[in-house]
Amino acid sequence: MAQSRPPARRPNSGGPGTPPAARPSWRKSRSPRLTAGLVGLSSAAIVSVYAVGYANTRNTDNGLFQAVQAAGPEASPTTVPQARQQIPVDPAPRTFSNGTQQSAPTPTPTRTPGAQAQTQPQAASGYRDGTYVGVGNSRHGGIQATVVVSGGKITSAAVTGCGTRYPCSKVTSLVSQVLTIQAPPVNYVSGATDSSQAYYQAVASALVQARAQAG
Amino acid sequence: MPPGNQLVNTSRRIRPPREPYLASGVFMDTLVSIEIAAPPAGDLCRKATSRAFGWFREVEQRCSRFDPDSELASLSRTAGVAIPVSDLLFRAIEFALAVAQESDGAFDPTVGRTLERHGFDRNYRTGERIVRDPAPLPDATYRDVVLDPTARTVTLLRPLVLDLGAVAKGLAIDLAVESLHDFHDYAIYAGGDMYLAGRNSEGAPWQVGIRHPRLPETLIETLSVSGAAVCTSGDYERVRPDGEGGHHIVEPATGGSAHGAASVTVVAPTAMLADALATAAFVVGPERGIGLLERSRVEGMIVTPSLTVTETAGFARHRG
Repeated sequence: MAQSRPPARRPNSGGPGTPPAARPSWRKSRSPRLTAGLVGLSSAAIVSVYAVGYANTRNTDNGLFQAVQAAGPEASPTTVPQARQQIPVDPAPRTFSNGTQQSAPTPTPTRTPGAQAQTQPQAASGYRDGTYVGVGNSRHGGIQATVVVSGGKITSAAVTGCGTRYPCSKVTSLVSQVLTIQAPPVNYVSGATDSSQAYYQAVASALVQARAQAG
Repeated sequence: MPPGNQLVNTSRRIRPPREPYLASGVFMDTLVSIEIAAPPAGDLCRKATSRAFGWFREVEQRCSRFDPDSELASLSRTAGVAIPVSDLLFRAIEFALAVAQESDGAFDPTVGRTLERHGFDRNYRTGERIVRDPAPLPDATYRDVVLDPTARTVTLLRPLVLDLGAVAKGLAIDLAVESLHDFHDYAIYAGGDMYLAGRNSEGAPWQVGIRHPRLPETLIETLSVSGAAVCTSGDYERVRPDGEGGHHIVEPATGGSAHGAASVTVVAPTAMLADALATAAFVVGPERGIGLLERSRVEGMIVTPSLTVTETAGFARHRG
């Protein structure tokens, strides 16, 4: 079964509908073997739809995709590089557990002032000692996690802000997991579980800062 | 820390880890996040993710059952006439019908009216309820939809409501993947369904947890994925708003909620395929479901309501 499976993601991508965009290198390296059945049909559909959309928009950055900018705040993607962002998932103000009112899209503090001043040497874990704050988003609001690294180890990864419609006590069982593994156990969770995903994302974004500091 | 370690550590400073680029927004009533690991400097990430989100918006505008202005909604209002449709909608319907045929109707894009009767009839943006007068009978099947590939038309042989819920989100993820062709390592995540390319920001294959269907904050499995989509259909996702019990996955033969599985996870080359086959396998349950997945050349895992786990022969190679 595993052996018979075609490795190419877009096996039918060489047809007349191929968009004039550069082919990604990972596609070039795969076998161009044609595949029948649903795998081939789905691949062909995607390549064709993308080609039509690309042809409609290649001369402009607006065109087909103007709707994104024109849409209301809920539909607008927010892009913030460097792993620190808060998106306006829910426009309603949320009370964080420390009692402060936070109204999206006000940015959440991403690092405590003390963190940058830390001069502790970096440990084998790759994390520099300090306190780091990360935010994870979900459809129903954000979760803020504060990660404390001491002696190169994660000693705390508590939920310090909860803007979600559900109680954040749901994720407390995940904290001990992070402490045991010294990282979030996964990058993503399949089978929507908003709260776990948001918490892992919050911890991961805090740890990115801990690693960047260490580097 | 033992003395001397600092010497080793300073060598790491030559290549500080690059922070991933993250962007997210709400589309199709779900949170969509894009992560580009080891992003290049400059404007490339912003432009590419903007294009990727544009596809989510485009697919939603064409394929939403809830938005009365969508192309799908306007198609669903006209029976007995060949309606010319966009390439995007045509391809989405064509694919949905192919999965319906392959699964012998266990997957059926004509269950829209049944879903409406179960209470899935409100636009998430406006809160408005869909009103149909006269309402079509909920007993249409995929055989009542006829495509003309040359003229690019769709004919509904009788009044029915098309639902592309199990196809559209996957299609949007796949089109977003195409938009990110300049990058090697990225993740596109849309409410529990995702496509993962290359490696994560630590240089390892992406680690994907699969939610336990009965213990929300517990993972039932962890996978290591690169260059594939992962989609899970679960009976816990959307509870029937009509108070009758059950969930959003309809068994077309009975018109009730399907009970063949508690959750189905599919790993496939495209998200559209993974999403649709997860739904189809959910309806037919583990025995026929594993056969369907293997025949379709994808890998998957089916968890039954009694928490028995069955998987395709090649699924184990994704285990992290």
